[in-house]
Amino acid sequence: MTRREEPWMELDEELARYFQALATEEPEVDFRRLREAREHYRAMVRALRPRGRVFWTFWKERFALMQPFFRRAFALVLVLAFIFTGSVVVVRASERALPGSPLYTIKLWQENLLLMRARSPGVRAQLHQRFAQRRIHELRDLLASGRQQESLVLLENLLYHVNALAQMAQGEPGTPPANLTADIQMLASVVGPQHQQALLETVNALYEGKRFVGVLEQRQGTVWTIDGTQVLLTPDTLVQGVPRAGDVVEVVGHSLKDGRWQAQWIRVAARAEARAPLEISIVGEVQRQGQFWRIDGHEFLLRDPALVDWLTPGTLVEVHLQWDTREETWKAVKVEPKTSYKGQVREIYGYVEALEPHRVQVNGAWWDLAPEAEIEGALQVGAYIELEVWQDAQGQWRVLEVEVENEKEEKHESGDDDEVDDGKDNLSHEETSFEENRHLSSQREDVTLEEPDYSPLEKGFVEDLSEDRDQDAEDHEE
Amino acid sequence: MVSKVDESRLLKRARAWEEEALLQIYDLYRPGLFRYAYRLLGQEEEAEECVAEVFARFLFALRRGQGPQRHLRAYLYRMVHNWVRDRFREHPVSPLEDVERTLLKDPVGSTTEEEAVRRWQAERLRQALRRLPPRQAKVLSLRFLQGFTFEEIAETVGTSVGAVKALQHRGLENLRRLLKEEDL
Repeated sequence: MTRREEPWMELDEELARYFQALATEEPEVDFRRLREAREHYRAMVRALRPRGRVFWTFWKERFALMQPFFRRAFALVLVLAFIFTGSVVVVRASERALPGSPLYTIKLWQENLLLMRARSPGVRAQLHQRFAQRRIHELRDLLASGRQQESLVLLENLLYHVNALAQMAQGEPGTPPANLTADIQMLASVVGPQHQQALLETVNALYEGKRFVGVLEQRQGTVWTIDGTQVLLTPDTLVQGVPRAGDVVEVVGHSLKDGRWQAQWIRVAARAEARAPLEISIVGEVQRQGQFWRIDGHEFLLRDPALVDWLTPGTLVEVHLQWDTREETWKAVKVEPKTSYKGQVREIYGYVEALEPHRVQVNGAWWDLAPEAEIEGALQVGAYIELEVWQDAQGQWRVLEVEVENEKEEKHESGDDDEVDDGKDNLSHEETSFEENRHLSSQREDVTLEEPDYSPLEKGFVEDLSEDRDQDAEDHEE
Repeated sequence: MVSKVDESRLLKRARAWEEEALLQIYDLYRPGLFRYAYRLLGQEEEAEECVAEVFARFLFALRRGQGPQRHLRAYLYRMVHNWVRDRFREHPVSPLEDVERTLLKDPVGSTTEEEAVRRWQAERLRQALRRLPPRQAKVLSLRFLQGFTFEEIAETVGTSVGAVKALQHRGLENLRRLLKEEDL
């Protein structure tokens, strides 16, 4: 027995005996009670088990009991797992980030990483396309929220992806102007017309001093006005497409000291937005002024030159006008004669009895040939002609068209033309014309025409093409 | 005897409420605590009650996040000593009762004379220790009954080794004086 097991031996003999007596006193061991006490203690341990902390305390204790090497390894695994999980969460969260957000840098970094890892051209093209779509959506959101300045970086990144796609598609490096034009066309179509102006300003900021994009406002010879800037065209300037007013055009060149631009080439980037045509119709007298026509104060251009064949100043017409957004002017798309007591179109048939430079006598009546009158065929005395006459607002009858009917005799001999089918041969045509002439005579009495030139109408072959005339003819027969 | 490193790990596992560790502590310290309590109390039943309550207090303390941070053994022995002190403070035992308990435990004729003397000495020492100042009694009990080192006693009492030696010196002097008294 060691000294520690018999500590009383260092005492004096008397005290040692006392301590030895007590220290060697052993209690009786009751194993049944001992077992019961232990079970009671175990039950108490289970009953007092703290809830909620078991998991952490369990692993904490396990961690503390590990060997140092395994502890470090386990900690390293935990840290790596945390970093990986955190990275995944951050990357997922950054997918919806917009410029200005701290996560947006992570988003671009992740995209660049994916592009670097992609070996296959097909995969790279898909990635460029996906990222370009992302930029477009972001661009929309930014422009919609008025954050135009921040969209600059975004647009630059978008153009990078678009250019990369174009290069991959062409197999060779694309020229920046061509790509830019494609970009603008694409962007202008995706961002919508409400953001077009902001988009153009953003693009211009990208290529300041070298090129710019704007709306073509006016073309005056070699000086075009684009977004308020005068652009000079030289003989070397290449104009691609047919830029029209309202179109978005891209200009490559350089700015001059006076603020104007000298263009090297101009290209249509986006056509003007199509608008619903604006149409009106007006009724009034025609007044001609230069290349424009004016009716009741409305000035307009005739879209189809053929429309003016019969249109003379002073006539009463109904004009359907359409607003041309590009030319910013009214254009006549349809002109109809406005039938009234002093505005009728008639056709008169007869032989030329006499001929003067500016008038012709048919059926005994003289008809003034208007300067714009169109003469078809050789007009000569004795020829059978068809006169198309028009009564203007002043009541003057004017000849619009003279058609020489040389085939009259042939038609008469063949007898299979339309007139024969109508049950009227050419001989009876004169009788019919006389009846109509009488009808016109009575009509003229109603309007009390003052001009003596109109009296020959009573004897001429006149065919009134208006519906009023038909109705009057029916009334007359009754 | 459990090393300090093992005791520290055991205590950490006990704080994590590992049932195995808690039972291990019970199995490891319960016999010594029971003997210590028995030597101070002189009764198995009371010693069992003392040990059971000490372990219950230990569990409650752990559950509250309290309890020993390092010296588990010293903590448990201190709790046993405090329980015994409180027991005799609340229910003082007269010398006559001690004699009666001794006689009931060891009926006349069942033991030899030498055994009877030993028991008598043990009972006189137990009573003398109760009359000592608590810290002196604790130092002497742990030192000469349980064989603790000065360092272990210092941890249990919560003082320095030098103070423990001083307490031991004064306690032995007081003990000699008490044992010489006739009316002990």
